[in-house]
Amino acid sequence: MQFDKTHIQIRNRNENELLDIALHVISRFPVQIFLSFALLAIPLLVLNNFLIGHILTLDYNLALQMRTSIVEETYTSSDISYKTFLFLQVILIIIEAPVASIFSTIMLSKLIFNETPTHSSIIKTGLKSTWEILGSLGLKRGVLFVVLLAALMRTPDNITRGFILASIVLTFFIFIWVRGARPFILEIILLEQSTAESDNKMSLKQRSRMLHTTVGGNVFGRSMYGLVVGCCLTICLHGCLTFLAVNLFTETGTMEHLDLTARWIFPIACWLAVLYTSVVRFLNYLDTRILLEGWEAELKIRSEALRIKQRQPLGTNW
Amino acid sequence: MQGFSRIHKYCLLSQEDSQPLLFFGYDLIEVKQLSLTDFPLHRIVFPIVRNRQASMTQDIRGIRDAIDPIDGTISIVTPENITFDYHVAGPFQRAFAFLIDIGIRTAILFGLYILSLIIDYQLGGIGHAMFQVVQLIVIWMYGILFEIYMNGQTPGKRILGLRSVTVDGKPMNAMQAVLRNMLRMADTFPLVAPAAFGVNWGNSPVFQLSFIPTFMVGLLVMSMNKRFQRLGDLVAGTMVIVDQKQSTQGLHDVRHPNVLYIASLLPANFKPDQSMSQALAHFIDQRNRLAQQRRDEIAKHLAEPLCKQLKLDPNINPDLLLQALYYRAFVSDAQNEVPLTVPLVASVPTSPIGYAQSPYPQNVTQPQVLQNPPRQAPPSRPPTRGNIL
Repeated sequence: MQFDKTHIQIRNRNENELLDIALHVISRFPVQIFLSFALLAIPLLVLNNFLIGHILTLDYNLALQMRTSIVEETYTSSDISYKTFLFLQVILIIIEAPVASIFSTIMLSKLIFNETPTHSSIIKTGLKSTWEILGSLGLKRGVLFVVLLAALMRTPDNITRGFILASIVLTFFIFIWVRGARPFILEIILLEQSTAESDNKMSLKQRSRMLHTTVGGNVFGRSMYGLVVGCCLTICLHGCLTFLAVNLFTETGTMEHLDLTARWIFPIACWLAVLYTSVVRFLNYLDTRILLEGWEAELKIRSEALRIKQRQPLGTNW
Repeated sequence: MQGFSRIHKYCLLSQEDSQPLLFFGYDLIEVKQLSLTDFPLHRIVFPIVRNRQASMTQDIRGIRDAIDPIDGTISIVTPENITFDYHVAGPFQRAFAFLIDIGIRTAILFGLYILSLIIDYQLGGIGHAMFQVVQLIVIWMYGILFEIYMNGQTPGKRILGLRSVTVDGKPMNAMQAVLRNMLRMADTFPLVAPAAFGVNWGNSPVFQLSFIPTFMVGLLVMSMNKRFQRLGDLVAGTMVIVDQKQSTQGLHDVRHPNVLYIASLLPANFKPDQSMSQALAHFIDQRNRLAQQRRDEIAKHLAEPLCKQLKLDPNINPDLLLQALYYRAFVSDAQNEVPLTVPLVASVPTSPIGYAQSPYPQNVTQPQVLQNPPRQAPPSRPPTRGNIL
């Protein structure tokens, strides 16, 4: 890598600086980043609707039909299913966030180091690491959720559903903890092409331990901070998108279609926040490597070496 | 000759034949699809000498290919040709200052509200009316007054080390303070009703009149300009910068016998200049975090040309050489120490893998930071952070 030909100045930054810089990165390469992210985010948006849409459809429609007869009960019923849907949507999106940002991460890594990648090339690069991603993000971190969600789809009994929902919430918090401690797995797989076992290279586990444990507290803190910022950004984006939807697409100026909000506007806001946090995560990854591998020091030393090579021989003027 | 693209302030490149055209004294800001008739011909100087064309074209291509790296820093050149680097504060750095200010403002309003209740109790309905007026003044004048009287800072900005200045880096005037604070509301748009978030507080007047700011206009505008200016800043010609903080880490103790021996091999008149000292200080600051292989890898870049120029043995451990240079730059003059002339250990101990392993023999302590080194003539210790490239 040529550190002196990057689109980001190589130096250590704090968390807030990285969050600010991420905005500039997105505004410098908006089309490439959005398109590469949309390649996976849009299918996942549809998939999520398929996975948990039944909660909203069944209960909400039932509630709407019953609204004329038993007002209070139906209101409560629709309210609960609406909130359950939103909550599960958030959980799913947080789980799928690394997967959705596969192509955008590859794209960013190329763009930052001044390459001009095509979408086909980044797809090829992403597909090369399919098994590693499935293994570390799917099997280790995602499979339990899929099982629980499948159980939720198949269970008509309310008590069992409640139990499964509680399990999902518990698993989710463990998941957040694990991912907060090891946030750069995707970057290690995609950008350093690490595999589970390798003879001549560091294995995925070794590299992950080296990167995550050396400055573990810092990595975890930044990861959690990114999550909080992502949540705040989601709320702001949701408000903004709702405002636009109400003013552009409704005649009354009021949002009556809760179904539309829940199914599309809220997830889109979430995915946009995920896009932003994936850029922040990538910058965090770079920052961690700058810190651990001394990129900044190397740049300065190399620049000094270049200056010495161009300077007149020793003895004249130091 | 039609169709130029902007390359540099004074340079245009024809898109047809890539030949450079120089415009002296013509300040080209945005030039696209121009014809020569757009410029007075007497101001245009065609490439003068043919053999200079190649290098000139190369230079201009260099400018075209050069990347302007994203960094929260902007440079301002004064009329005296002195460059100041300012670190501009983005939305997330400013958000905390804003929250602190909101907290202080709310506390003031709460105090005033209590006062108004007391006045109401004593004098009748006058307290409430007074509170309404004072509330408006506090909300609108808080930022203006503080920024005028505290040189571009509010309490929140002062706590976090931020400051509002003009885009030229000068202190802003009262009119600019008024303008940027009056337009603060525009950055909070769009305002949405709580119902958009599924919150329903019934038909109370508080619920009907309350709006939640999303700040998306501010965020969008700030992300689209290099100085992170919000709408108010753009109108007033101001920006928010981070007050520079010098990091003071103290000197690192590098007095290992091998280092001292290498230092004694350096020419007596050799002293790293400021730029090299800065690079060395940065390297020594970071080397404790690096594996020995990585230390050598980085140090090799500088050690190789230095060995050649200083006529040193090319097999000297590069990491030790850089430590010796650091010693020469910051320590030896200060402490008047004569370098030990012990023979160089043939194989310098290294730790091939791992960040925490020592490159020194077990009986030698790790380099430590001298918090208050006794110094007779303190050397100018450069800041360890900052861009020198």
